[in-house]
Amino acid sequence: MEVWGDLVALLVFKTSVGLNKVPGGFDSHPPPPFFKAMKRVPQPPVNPAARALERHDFWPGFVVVLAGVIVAFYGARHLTNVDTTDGNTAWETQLIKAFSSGGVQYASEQAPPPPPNLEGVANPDEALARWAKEQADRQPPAWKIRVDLGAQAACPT
Amino acid sequence: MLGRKLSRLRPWVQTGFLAVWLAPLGRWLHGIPGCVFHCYSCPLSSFACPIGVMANYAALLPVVGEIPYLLIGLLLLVGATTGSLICGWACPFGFLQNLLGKISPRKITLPSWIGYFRYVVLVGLVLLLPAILGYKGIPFDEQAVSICRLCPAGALEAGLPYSVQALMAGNGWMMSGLKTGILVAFIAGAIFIHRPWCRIFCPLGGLLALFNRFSLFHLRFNPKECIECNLCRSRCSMGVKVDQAVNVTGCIRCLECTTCGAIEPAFALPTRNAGPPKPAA
Repeated sequence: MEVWGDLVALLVFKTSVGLNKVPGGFDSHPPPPFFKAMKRVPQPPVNPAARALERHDFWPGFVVVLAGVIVAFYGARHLTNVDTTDGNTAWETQLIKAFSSGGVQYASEQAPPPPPNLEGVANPDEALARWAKEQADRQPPAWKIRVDLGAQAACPT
Repeated sequence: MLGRKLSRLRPWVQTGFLAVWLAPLGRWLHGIPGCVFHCYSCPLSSFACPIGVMANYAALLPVVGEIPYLLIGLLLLVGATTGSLICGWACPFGFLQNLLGKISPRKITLPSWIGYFRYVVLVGLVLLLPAILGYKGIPFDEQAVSICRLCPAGALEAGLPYSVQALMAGNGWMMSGLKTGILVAFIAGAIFIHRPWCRIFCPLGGLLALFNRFSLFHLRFNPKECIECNLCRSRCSMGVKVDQAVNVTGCIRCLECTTCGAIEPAFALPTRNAGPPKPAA
């Protein structure tokens, strides 16, 4: 067969996908020894009569799909009972995003304010006692968990 | 010959899905859980890891009582539509294991019952342990034992890039010895065992496989086409006894078994009988 010009590319393509069989070409070569060495794994005999009848009805799957759509839609519009650091309530998507960016803050993790700097203070004992009293009177935060929307930890764990 | 075509097509579909999971869209979709096993701490992740989200919610449950509606809805939707087809055709971590498996043709065979260990991981490590430690007031990020700290996908997709980055910046290897060991063991395992993570540990695969029995997409056995060649079972690398049942929890729906012609992919429709054809009398 004689081929000219742009037809060469087409012929190469057709040969490569098996549309054009070339006698004496690549297809006519025997398989490589690697393929000859591959043997099928021996298996026990098949008994189609003993096979389980796997009925697949439409409705169970459809009902679960429908339930999934409704629950997912509800979740996408769901306001959690977790606050954000700017005082709003977090959407579920914001809470999920906080998991990946280390944005979930626990009240128990909040560090107390540092002790006052006593250098140059006229009465350091009094200042320290006042700070200790403030710490003793300090109310725990009203929130247990809140979401920092600006957190950007690359790998929280 | 549909099975052979599907077999050739599958790596390309898996590659195409990488453009979804590793898309350079930034991190703006991290508020939505994905449906494949892919660490959300990976610098190239588009969606949140569903298992990471589940474990985080489990840790928060005793404190604020939140339920992950979005995650549950998406898993129901994907599971009931496709079952574990996602595992065989879309999961990037499964694809990586497929590629690693190409290195050695010799494979260690595993018993099929080992797949039930996935549910131990799901219930124990993803749901119960974070909830118990969360009840004790330990935040998920600080829990010494958690799925994220033991996950090879996290080690490979997040730990490795950040450790290499830290190493190049002169800050030393940042990944813990345990996680590095898990990563090395996983890579070695994936070379000699076909998809070891999927078969033994993957809690997401186990969860999606529960839908296989009634998902709209399913596999159907046609006894008229069966010539008892056992090719279906020989082609299955997941150790499923395909000659007995196909829509089982051990199946990842790679569709390799459809090569024989007697097992065919099908989609349940309301207008036709989706049950298996009756054998000829």
